[in-house]
Amino acid sequence: MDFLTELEIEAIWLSLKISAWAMIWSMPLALGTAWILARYEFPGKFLFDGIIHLPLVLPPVVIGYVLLITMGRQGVVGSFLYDTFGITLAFSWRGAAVAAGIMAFPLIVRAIRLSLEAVDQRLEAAARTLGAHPIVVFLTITLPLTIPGIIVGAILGFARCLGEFGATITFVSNIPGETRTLPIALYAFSQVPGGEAAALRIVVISVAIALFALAGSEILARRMRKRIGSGHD
Amino acid sequence: MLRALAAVTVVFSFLTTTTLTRAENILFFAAASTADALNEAIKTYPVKTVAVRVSYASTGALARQIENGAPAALFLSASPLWTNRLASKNLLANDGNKPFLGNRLVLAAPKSGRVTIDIKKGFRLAEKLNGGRLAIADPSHAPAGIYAKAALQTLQVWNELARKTARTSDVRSALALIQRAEVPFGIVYRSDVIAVKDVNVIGTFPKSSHPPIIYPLSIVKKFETPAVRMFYDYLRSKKAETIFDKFGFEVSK
Repeated sequence: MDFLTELEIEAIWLSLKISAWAMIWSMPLALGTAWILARYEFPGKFLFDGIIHLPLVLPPVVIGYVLLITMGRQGVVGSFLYDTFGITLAFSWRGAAVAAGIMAFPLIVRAIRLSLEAVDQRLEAAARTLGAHPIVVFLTITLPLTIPGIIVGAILGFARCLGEFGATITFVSNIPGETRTLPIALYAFSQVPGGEAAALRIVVISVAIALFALAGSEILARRMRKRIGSGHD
Repeated sequence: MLRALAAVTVVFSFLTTTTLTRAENILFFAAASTADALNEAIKTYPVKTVAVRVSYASTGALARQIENGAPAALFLSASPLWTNRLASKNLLANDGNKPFLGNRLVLAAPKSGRVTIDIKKGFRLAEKLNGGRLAIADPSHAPAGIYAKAALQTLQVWNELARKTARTSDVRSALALIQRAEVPFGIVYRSDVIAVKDVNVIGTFPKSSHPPIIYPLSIVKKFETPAVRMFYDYLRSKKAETIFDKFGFEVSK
């Protein structure tokens, strides 16, 4: 791959790795959260919903700062993780995955929740009266019907992770080969006189990745729609 | 209705006349690291008919804005690289691109740590990090990081330290990491640590270890007025010099 520099390959790889891990931890949690928000009424739900949406409202730098205070070496969560598991999040790509996942979380929850709310609960009730276990009902009725929302959430979330900058640079700084993702490399280039050409290359790479991911998810979504559709006809 | 209209007219005319008599606004772009000192210098500026508003940001971001026509009359840059570029595009007043402030690099540690290190050729900073990281501004673009890298290279310890750095977007973020004891050491400007309490200065890097740290002060040609020139001269006066000196800068003659 002569047309990409070493730095670019490294940044692409890191961006993909961090975004993938961010999705791996945040998707199941987001599904659970969306389930609670879509199906249950409880005191404090409004507040819970609000807290989930905070990363959408607050400047990313604030989220990064909060992460640094709580999950840094000196933070409550950070020191616990280090003492019990030997894991450090600050200044590592794992921390970047945590930051990216948190920033993407509300977007994923919203998409899945909309889809969950649209599921006809009478179908679930019917399955249960026919003797299906609640877990079987969830896996065979609810989950397949929610798939469109889950895909949309995953696309939005992954895109948000790829572009994550503010929380990442505040929490894990810019370490070559560890946390220097595409947006952070782009920022660094834009800060030096004469860095425009290098910055532009990263812009082109980012656009290319976004289009690839979009095309891939479109194909996936079409296939899923066909499968769900054929079940109905 | 008529009365309301009259009231609006009165308020409006009041607003316009006050802005007219309030003489002049000067928009000043300045590197974030100069904020404390510059704010004080502006506060003590005796000419009260002039309102100086400052936008503090990274030198690179400000320079790009000036390049694209931002209405800043004065520019205090943290690096001659950027002002040279603006000068080469003929955007700065001819005599308005001179060194103004100088600074020094210091090795700093959180107050809690009690370490002493002699900053000299081959000093064992990497060992003292003890698994932690050395906070520096990003040497790929931030001036403080460029100087820090140069100093560590001169002292022949960069190769072992490069992989143990936490590179922040600007020098103030590096300082914040030291303050919160997220890192055992960091390299920042002397002027950065003067105002903060929870940071220990371990030592100052020798002047010869890095290129001179220069903050040029420039007048942007397109927005030069007598009031701008007057304020520029004030910043270069003895009175302003004592302020910048107090905040840890060296004033270039």
